Amino acid sequence: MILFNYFWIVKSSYSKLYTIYSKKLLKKIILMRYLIIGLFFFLSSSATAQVQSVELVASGLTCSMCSKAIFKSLSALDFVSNVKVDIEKSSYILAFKSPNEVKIEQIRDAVYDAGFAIETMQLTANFPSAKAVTNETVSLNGYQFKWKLLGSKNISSPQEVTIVNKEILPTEGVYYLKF
Amino acid sequence: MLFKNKLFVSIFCMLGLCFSNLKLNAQELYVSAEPASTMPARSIIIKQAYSTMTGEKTLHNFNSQLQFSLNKKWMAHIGTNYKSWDFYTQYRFFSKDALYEHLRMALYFKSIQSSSTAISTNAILLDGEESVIQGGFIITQLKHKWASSLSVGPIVKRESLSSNGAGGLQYSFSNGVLLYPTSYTSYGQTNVNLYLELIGQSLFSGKAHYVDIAPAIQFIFNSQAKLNLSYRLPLVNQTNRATYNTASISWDYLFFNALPKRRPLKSKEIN
Repeated sequence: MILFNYFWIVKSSYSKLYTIYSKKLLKKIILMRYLIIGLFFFLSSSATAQVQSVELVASGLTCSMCSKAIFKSLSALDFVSNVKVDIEKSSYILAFKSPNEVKIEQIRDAVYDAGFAIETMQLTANFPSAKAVTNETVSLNGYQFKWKLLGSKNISSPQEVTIVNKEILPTEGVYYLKF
Repeated sequence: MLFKNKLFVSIFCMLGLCFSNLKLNAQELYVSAEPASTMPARSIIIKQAYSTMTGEKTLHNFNSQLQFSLNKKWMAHIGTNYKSWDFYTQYRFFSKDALYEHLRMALYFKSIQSSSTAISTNAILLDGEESVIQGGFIITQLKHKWASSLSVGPIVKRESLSSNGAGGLQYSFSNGVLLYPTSYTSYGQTNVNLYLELIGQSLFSGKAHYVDIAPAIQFIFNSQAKLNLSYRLPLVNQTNRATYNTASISWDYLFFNALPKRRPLKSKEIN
């Protein structure tokens, strides 16, 4: 009985060996496992914020054929799962297959390829930190942005942010985010 | 007197279009002229047109055309009317977009290679009856509810290139409005557009000169197919053209993303 109270016979998951563990040791092992798994998830989510959805307003058009050209161009992106359009407002809401595959540059190019430009691009993302401080760097889907705010603001989860740069990720200069 | 009346009516119509634009959406998918805007990148348009030209004689013209764009700035058309071949290319070099408005500029080149023998007219014909080379500049402005486009450039008969013969200036001025729907709710709505275009030619020699007016109505189905009906007649005609009134019907279908995608654009290539 003592044996069963203080020692457990555990079958390894990757070999057919049976090992005798003390109850204390087993608890430690299980705890370590949870810690490692937890740390892995924490690291993978804190490395970069991930875009959940994008709402953009295109500029330079008034016709529905032009709007459809943008719609078709955005729908053809392989990481986009759905595009909702308001033709009258020239706005497009994009949903994605997997948030970590979203490429902001390709979304921008899709609109330019259709022959038009972007008036505003608003992103909804989960940020790892709870506070945004102006001029501090923030990583969003692999792109390095800086906050452009008046002082600091609390970030909600998820948070809607807007890309400040009119050209959306220009070759030169710093990319700014605001909300 | 008749000419003055026509001119007055056309100016009145143009002004009417401009003012009616205050309540309507502007359209620049012109029937007779090309706007400076390019087709969507990697798309293809198949176009079929039929026109009847009347005047001193009657001519019937079928034109089949393939239009495509490899990128957002460059497009080309290849067409035939079964007596001649025409090639058109356009490059958009300037684009300034804002919400519901844009200003665009483009350069174009057109070549018509005709198998017909030279005909005796002092005007340079663009309907495939003679071989012609043409080039020029297009500027198109869309501002809220008002859009217009101007194109101008030299034109020359291919045969007179060597003999230093008559060249001229070809120009157009186009306006367009959306009549229906009054507000967009889906891509499936049929759009009805009304256009008023002026097409002119002046030979450098001063021997021939015309300005035609071409009103047109356009139906757009499923935001992808167009049906155009137009009638072109002369406002000013100081030429000996054998045909000068043209009734046209044409349809075209746009295939989006029909051509394969190239590498992603680099940021510096944007605009």
